[in-house]
Amino acid sequence: MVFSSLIFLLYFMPVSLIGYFLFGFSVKLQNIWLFLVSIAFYAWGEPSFVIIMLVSIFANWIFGLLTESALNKSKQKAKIIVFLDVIFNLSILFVFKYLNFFVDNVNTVAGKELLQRPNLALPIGISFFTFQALSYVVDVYRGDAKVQKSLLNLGLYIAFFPQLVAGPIVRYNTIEQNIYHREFDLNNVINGTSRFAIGVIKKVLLANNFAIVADTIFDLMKIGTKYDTTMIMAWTGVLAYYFQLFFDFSSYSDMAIGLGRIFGFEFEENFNYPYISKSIGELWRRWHISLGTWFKEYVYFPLGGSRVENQDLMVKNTIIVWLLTGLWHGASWTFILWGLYQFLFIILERLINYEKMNIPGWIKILCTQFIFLMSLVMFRCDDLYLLKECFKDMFMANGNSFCNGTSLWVIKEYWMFYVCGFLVATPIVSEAWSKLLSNKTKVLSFLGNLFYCACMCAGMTVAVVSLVRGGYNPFIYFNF
Amino acid sequence: MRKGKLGKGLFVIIFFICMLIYSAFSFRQTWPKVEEYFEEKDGFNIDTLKDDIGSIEGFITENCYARYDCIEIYGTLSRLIGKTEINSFEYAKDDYGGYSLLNFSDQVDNMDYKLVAERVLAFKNDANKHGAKFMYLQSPNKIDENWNPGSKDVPYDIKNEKTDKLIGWMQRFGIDVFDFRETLKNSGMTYQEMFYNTDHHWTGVAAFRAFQDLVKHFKEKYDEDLDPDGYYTNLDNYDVSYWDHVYLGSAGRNVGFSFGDANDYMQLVVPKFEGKISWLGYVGDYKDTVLRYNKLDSENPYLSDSYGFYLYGVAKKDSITNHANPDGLKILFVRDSFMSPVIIDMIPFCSQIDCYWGLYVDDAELKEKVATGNYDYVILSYGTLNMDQSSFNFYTEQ
Repeated sequence: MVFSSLIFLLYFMPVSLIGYFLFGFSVKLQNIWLFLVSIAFYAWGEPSFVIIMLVSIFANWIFGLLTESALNKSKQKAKIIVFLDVIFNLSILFVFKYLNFFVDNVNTVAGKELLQRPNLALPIGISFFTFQALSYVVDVYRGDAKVQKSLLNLGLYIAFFPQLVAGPIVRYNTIEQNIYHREFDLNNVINGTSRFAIGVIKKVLLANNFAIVADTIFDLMKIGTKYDTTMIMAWTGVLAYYFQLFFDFSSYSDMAIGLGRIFGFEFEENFNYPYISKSIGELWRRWHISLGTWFKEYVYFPLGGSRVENQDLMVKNTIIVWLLTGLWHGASWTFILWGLYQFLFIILERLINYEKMNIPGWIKILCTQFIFLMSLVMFRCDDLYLLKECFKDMFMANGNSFCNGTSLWVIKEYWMFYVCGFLVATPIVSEAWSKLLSNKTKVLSFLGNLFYCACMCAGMTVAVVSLVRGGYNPFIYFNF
Repeated sequence: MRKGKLGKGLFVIIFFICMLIYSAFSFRQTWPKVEEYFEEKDGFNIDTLKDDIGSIEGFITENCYARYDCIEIYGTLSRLIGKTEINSFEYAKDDYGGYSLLNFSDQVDNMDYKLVAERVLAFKNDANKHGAKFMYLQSPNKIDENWNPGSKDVPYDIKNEKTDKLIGWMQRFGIDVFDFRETLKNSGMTYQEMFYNTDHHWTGVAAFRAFQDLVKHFKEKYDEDLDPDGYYTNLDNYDVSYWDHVYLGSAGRNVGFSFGDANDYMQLVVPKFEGKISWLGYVGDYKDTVLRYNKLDSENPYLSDSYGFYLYGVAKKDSITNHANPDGLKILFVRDSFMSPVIIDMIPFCSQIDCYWGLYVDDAELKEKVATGNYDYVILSYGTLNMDQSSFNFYTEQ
């Protein structure tokens, strides 16, 4: 189920909220309710995959208990149990996410169909809930989290629907206290609902419209030289994808964080205006923060991180992290290439101490965004052929024209979304809101509040109208 | 006052009140459909759970409260921000305010014209072998330099050039081609009379002009005088009715009336004479059989399907029997939706008309039909919109 869908907004959300607040007298009952609605939420997308998630919950619960019990006797034994848990979780991930890719490559290398392609469908959100489950057992082993004796509570942590299918990746100790102790707080409901609505508006009105432009133009680039995708058209498409990806994912995080807050759970922020970053390193501290933190905590630091004697080791650790980050996003060579590309610039920035270099901020922002934009072409392309065609179209190396009337027509149809996208992706709008709402003149502050309310109502109305009408509503991060 | 708390609080109150009210109203409309669905299915079945979920989602979207008002609001907003494109570049508004199909890759020419023409030739030869004459009929496109060149730089789905190339090859192979684009060009009709504004199809009257020319062609080319006294080709013997503001075509249903400047009208061409027809299990006059009044809903333009009025638009296969003329022609049509009104107009001259939707026809089944149908004529017909190699997936081995 998608948050920005009518089934969720009209039925699932009201029912889950009413049930939740009806059980307000008992946190335990609220947890049972949340677990049940989370299972229903997941089953709505693909009923059979619920079994995989339930197996994952049960297995990690057992591994958690075994780890804790082993820790009291022998650290070595606990380590083995954690190792088995890692193998278990990665095996699930490998089978459902990477096996097709692996078989394809083996067959390509062999030059014949050595192995039969299993064609397994990818369970929605498997990368997210597997990473959460994995981090829980590791945290128990490290002593960073107490073992969860209740299967239901662990199930709620892993399956909690706001963050189940597209993150943010929540660490167990972040919400451990919320699982046990939650009290009704009107501020949480107000802020959570507003945050959720902002997510819906961003998703439906911005991400979906950018998706139309991006998908149309990338489909044209796929045609190759037979279609004259002009340079302007290619850049229009790439820029649309640049905005689509940000709004698609950050809006989902907004909705997840907002929903979590309504239910009394505090998730950490996942995005912090990445498109004003002055370096790739900074961008990754602002983009999909929970994934970056996860890799840092569970891969980079255990490998030794930056505090290794030999700089070669640091480079090795960094390359491992970025290879895995690329692979986490999808089983394709373009994702691996994308990960290596990020690694290359991060290492380069460290080598020349780029972040401390005295270069005007706006130049740094432009350079960073250009580099990131290029990486998104790899991210978007399904295969190396399309990647090649896109780059050729973008730099007029395909015998294509610079511009034509059709390209300008497409821009004319969608220019307003680019302007809105730019304003919302940078802190301009949020700064303006803050100033308006915190105006010291009471009348102006009052009017500002009314204006805020009016804009939110209008935005939400248009979003619902668009959903009722039906139309393009893809969700990129569901594929991960 | 904490920063923005008043504005947020107010919004949250409005949000929840509106959400609950809208949910309740929508539920009232949706639930009976869901109940009906499960009653028809004889209850819930775990094996079909995924399909059931998909169906329920469909009911929820289709039965939202005030859905058509929402579409009108969407159309108004799109118009206000200056958009001319509809539905992810599926349609665009043209200079006349009508909605026309788009296709960015219209200029991409992936068609092997000679190969396609060879397939049509094989089809023709097979028809001839079994005693049937063969012709290819070309239906027109809404966008055409002769009546509506469309807005500049908009990538319409035109395919007129491809059509011309294919027709050239077919004529070279000796296939009889009759081009209704010429009919409309010489008809003296205006663009608005030829095509619906909010749909890609031609109007009933435009199709009737094509029918008149087709009857002439039968006489001139095959010496087949279908209508010696000119009764059936006289539009006076038909009721032609118009209703303004009660029809939205397939493009219009995505954005409503408010998006475009042009209103659309429902235009029906109904014979004044009686018929004795059977089709899809219906038996009786035209009005009881091939003209589907249940597709018309003057109360709700979104539910009215003026083009579906004729033979439900198009089906994968169907067969019309005219009991009033048992000695009439036997014709096989391999066609698309453009031909539906013309086929109805042809009924008086025929004893039987069998139809296949060319895009979905099975090669073996078609050959079997040609061999055993004992047809007088086999007619292949497409609009320019279907001018793709995939529309000619028959007689592929020739």
